[in-house]
Amino acid sequence: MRMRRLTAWLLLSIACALPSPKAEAQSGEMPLTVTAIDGPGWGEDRRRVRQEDIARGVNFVDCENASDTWIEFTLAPGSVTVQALDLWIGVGAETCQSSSSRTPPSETCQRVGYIQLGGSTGSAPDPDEDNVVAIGLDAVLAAGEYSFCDFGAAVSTVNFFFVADNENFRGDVGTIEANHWRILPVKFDAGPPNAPTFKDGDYAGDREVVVEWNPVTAGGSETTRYRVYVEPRGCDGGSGALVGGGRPPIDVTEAFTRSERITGTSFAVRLSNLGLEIGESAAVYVTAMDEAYNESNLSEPICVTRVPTAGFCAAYEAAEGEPCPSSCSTVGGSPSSVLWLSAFLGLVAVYTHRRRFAR
Amino acid sequence: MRLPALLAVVLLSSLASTASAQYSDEYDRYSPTREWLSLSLGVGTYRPNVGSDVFRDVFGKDKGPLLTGGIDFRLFRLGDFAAFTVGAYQSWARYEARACAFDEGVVDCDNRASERTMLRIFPLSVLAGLNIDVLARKFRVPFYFVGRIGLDSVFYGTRTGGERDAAGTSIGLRWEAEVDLELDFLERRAQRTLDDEWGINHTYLLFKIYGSTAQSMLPVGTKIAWVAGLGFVF
Repeated sequence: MRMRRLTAWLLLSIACALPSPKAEAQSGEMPLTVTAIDGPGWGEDRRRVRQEDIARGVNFVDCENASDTWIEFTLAPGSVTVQALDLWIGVGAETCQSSSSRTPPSETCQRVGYIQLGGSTGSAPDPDEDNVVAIGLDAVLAAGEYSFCDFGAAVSTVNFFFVADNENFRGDVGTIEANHWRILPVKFDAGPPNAPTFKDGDYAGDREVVVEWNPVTAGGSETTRYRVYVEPRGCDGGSGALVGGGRPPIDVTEAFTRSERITGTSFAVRLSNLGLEIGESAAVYVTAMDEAYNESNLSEPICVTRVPTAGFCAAYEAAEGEPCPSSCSTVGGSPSSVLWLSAFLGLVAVYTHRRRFAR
Repeated sequence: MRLPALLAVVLLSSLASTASAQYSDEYDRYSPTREWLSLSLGVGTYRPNVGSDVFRDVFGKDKGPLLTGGIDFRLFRLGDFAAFTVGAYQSWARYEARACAFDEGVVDCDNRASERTMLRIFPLSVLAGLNIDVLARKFRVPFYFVGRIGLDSVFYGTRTGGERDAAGTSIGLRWEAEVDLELDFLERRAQRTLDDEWGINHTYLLFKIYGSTAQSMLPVGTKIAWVAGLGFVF
């Protein structure tokens, strides 16, 4: 009885350890991967090459500027000889694997084109490497009447079905080698979150004012990234570059500053860096970003006004008639260095004691 | 009437001594390790005595809290009566408020801006002390009384609107009066296990009041403050 159980357990283990032929056949074995999403964003948003950023998918700014967005697919060099790739796309559960999905009159997939390796489609530029193809988003959208890129559309998966060296392939994948086709899903999320609203407050200070806003939820979870836009003198008839409730501009101009993506729901506006005189105000806007880095519309602005203030030292000086005493070098250096030195000495003492005790 | 009372006292005394003997027999293999230092952690309040009403005007009733830790080395003992100690104590406290309005040289703390102002202090003191533990050692009354005096250096830093206004160190004299409740009586077996395994001879709750005259630069000493916490004798 025990031997039977052992044998069954061994067989089960072997079966689990072996790769599932069915699972591999469902996506093909061609060593092709998504290696970049290049969009119209700015800075770190422009070209996303880290897998975690690629997994965030194509966002609304990409969709809005489809002629300036492309996705790059890279074939592992030396793995298989390929000249060109036939590309079909299907949305959602449609992977384009079945021949019927690519065969009129009931086809559910759309053909994008036959792209030479090292080449591109649509408005995408040709890649620098010979083992890469660049698929322009405009070419993808032109292949059919799709809504996954419309503003506010639900999150969708678009399946890119590639077949090597087989133009206009409508046959069954069983008739070609497994390493000559591949299905690669790409996430599309064109639904930005709602714009945040600032908390009520009298935002005024001399050097720095911390503005706070209410958190925004997107897709059932709290948004954790925000961007803050500041337009100096924007409350006194601004440049018009930023409009409350409007779309955030893609490019930064001299009229305003924009923060990096920040976590948390507060931001310190450095008034001393804005060149404001006493009594002048800056307009501050905030946007929320979801997981795909879709940016919401601009919030309604708040005005942050530069006013003279008295901190502890200014109050001390006013009361005592002398400024707060200050020295560049204090006894023992900075408080934190003293803290760490003391902690270190304490640990040494305990350790020494422990050794002595152990004897 | 006096005789029964006398007999009762004698009987009770004999019972107590019997119990004591049994207790001692149970632990006669126990030999405590040498006591050479104590570590303590505590929390309390601290309000710098700036000298005028500035602190209260700006920070209101903010009293910290103050977090503190210390190490006390036992230099030598006076028999069972007390131990002379020298130790170092460090603390940290932070006070924050919205900055006051300021108009033509007049500070108006009834009106506040949203800008923040902050004072941070970091007292570090070296103190000599006398730890009177005769009650606990001789009579099993679980209290120590500790007095300390020494040098206090209070590092301070103040910022407004994210920018530093001033930083420095004020030096002065510091005194402390502390009463400790030794916790060994709760579970003597556990206490001895702690000593056997970790070298912790005693555990105690502490409460102390103290004052500081640190004002050589910014007056950030305090007339009187308190700390409560937990300590270990190694």
